Amino acid sequence: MKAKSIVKFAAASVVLAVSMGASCDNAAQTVSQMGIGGSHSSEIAGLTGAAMTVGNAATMNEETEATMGESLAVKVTNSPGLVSNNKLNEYVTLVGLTVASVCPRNDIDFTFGVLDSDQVNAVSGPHGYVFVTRGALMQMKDESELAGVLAHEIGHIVKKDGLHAVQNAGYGKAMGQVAQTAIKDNSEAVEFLTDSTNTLATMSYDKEQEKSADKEAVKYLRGAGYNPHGYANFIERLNVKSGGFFSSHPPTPDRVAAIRKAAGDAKGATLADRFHANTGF
Amino acid sequence: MKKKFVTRAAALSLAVAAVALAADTVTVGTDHVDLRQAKTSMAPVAATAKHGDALVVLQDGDPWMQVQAGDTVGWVRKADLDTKGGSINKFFSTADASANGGTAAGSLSEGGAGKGLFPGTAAYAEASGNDPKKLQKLIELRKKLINDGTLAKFDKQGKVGAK
Repeated sequence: MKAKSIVKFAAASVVLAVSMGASCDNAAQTVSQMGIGGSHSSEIAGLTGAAMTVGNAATMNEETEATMGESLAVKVTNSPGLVSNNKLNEYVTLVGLTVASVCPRNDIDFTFGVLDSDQVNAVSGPHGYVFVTRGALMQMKDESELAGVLAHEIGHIVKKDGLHAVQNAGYGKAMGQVAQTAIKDNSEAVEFLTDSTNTLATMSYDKEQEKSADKEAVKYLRGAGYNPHGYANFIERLNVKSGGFFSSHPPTPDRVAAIRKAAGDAKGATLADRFHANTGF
Repeated sequence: MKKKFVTRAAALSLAVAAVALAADTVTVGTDHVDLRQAKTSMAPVAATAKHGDALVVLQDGDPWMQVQAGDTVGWVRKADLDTKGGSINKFFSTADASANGGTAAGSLSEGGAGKGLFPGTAAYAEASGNDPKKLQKLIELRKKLINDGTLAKFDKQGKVGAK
């Protein structure tokens, strides 16, 4: 870790713990209460659960999912924006595509990027949009840890967790009405997309969804040849440093244990040298 | 790329989006569609068909269809095909295109700053003041890494990836 205070790191770690294990509204709230979240804290934390649907997630058409995912991706690539070092974007894209190549959604184009933020976080949107922050990369030790974080986010996308979260929050009906109506003009759809992306700042994944995404991650990591214990190592490291703040969310030690149990005696690539060579961290 | 135009435009004009007819041809209604070497979005692009091109259907399926364009055989996503052409005011398609008066389903923006993105995305970007080119740059990066062999080399070097 470079030039970052312990306090700031702890808060940032909390954001990641929430993003990968709990609700976004609590993440934003906690960072705000601690007063050290930075200008993008609520935005990034909010978008962690940013996945949307129109109507029933199971029957939602692909174009709607893709449009919403694209809109979210447009939003985060502008604020906080992408890192200027395109080598980082390229490396994360390569690792992400490698993991995505073994996931069940072989029909969508996964897109990856690195957000220019000190926070430790990862965000995903529907239809294959996955972003990790520069701050998160700085806490990682090797490529298997990066692959693990990306695999977790891919797991949410595969399971359409965000879509279900929106539906369960009661937005499905309203969105379904929009989808079932021929859109008369641009403003109607733009308003819908704007409301949707903003509303999703309070969406959350439930504990079972997080556990499920962890399980998916382990499957993809094994399939792609990465050591899934790297993912557990990363979560474990953050938990130790953050102090495990969130009683309302899956206790990180439990998640680590579950990940390790699912990983079993799996071996695989860790690629520390390649990680350091490509990231400089 | 060489293209084989064995169209049945009259029949296709009445069809809903992305339906392979008995004639075994489909017309590209979106801005473009990539023919991939395997039925996965990670596979390199064998050729790119443009709006209006006719593709011979060799194997119907969903989400992937095997098609031929000229001498090139490849896989396309059914959702990427559209037999109706685009309409900038149609942001989201529905399962039944006829319910919307037969407007386009799944069309991509054909020009402007949001080229290649869905019309709704492009309009959202414009309304929100966000630059869509930043996302487009990432999308182009992903395509390049797949198509120029960088991803395959990366996986081979690290002994990772799909077996």
